[in-house]
Amino acid sequence: MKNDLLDHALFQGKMVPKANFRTFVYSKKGDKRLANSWDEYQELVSSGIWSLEKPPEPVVKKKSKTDKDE
Amino acid sequence: MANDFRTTNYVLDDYFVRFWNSLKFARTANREIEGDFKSLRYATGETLNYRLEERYLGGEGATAVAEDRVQQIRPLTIEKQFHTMIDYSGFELTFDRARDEPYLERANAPRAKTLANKVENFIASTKFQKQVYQSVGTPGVAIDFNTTLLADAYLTELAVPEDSRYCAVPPRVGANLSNDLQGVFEKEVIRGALLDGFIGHLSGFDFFKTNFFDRQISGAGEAGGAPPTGFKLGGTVVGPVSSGSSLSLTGLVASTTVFNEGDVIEVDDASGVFMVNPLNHNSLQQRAQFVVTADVISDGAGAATVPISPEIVISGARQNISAAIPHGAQMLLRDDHNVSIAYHKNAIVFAAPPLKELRGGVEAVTRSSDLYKLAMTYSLGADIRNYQQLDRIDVLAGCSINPEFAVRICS
Repeated sequence: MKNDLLDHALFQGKMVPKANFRTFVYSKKGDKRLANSWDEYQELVSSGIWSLEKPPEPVVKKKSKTDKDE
Repeated sequence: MANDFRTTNYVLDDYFVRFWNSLKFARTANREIEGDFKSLRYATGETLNYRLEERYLGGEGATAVAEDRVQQIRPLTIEKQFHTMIDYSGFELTFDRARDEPYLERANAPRAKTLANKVENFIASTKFQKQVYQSVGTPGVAIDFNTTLLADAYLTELAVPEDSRYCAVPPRVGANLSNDLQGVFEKEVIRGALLDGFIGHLSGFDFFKTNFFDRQISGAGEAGGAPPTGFKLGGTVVGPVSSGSSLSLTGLVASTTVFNEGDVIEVDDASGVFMVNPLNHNSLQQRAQFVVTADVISDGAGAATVPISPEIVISGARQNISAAIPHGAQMLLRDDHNVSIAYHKNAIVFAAPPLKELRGGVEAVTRSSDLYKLAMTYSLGADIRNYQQLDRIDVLAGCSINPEFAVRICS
């Protein structure tokens, strides 16, 4: 049982096995990277650059009719 | 009585040959289990289990590690009784000579074809098409010779034997293929027209036309984005997923049918999850592919649990994809497409065992052929209250699909 717990980790509210763990992580700039192990994931997240949260899609603003170039 | 019996036998023989000649999928299927139903020395029940070939990893060096023998079984169930029945009034028998030669012929041929169509539809549309997950071709793009070569290559990469390979195509897909191949195709059509509907031997397959594949209409999937040509986005994986027969997805269109049974979904290339050769477990170029096994409706937040086949296996002798599917992986959904299927005969296991004849005022005879591995029962009865002759033909059928031996060609 002890070994079972060591082999698992809490991820997104679920216990998941550390073996074969894979996830995508995202930067605030919108870059995407694949972490191929639990350790790699921990390392990336602890860097502060990467997180599980996808950054929101950039909103494309329509040009207003009052812009100078119109 | 003896004369009548001979007539019944004759009629059944006529049906039998016509029925056999109208079959394509049943004729090209694996029929080796049928004998077990036929011998019936003890009550077999309606289901027989057959074993898939065992798989092992092996090893090297002086010290060996014993592997578990894992026997995978699949059921073959005799689940269908197809029939055709007509009744003759006394007047029809007397004045139209409805059951006399040559007038009987007018009913025999179409009835045999009707039965054959029912059997073929059962195999192709109900069973086969919905279970094949390995796919090539681009939905919306016509099949060309290169696509068929790709299907052949994919089957070989999947360690499917090179012999007894067939390719079933809808007529319009066959027309496109014919147009692409021009002279080669026409020559093969003439030389290879062995059976009704057979086209010929091309790029490693015996081609034949079929009307029993339905166009696959895909579910709504995920809206927007920039999927590859012929695909829709198919949601994002909540994972990681390293086993099981379902995927939990988010980002789908909310509260609608996001996947239909028979839809093919694939893991986007960026996730690095690919199909593997089942013998050496080397990764192939082909993205990991699955077929959706039931219609799926998303919840109000655009999430859904999607039942898939095959079961995900990422290690061991039965490994079928190269790695676990990562959390956040983008799924791709094959858009609406025409379905053709390239397959080895082991993809379809079919049986049509003999049906026990009725007794008591019924003249019945069963014709069972070891050569064709097929049985058909003809029953002739009388309704003396209404003075009618009842004339009925029955075929029992069961079918099991081994989708590992088939590749869907989308167009």
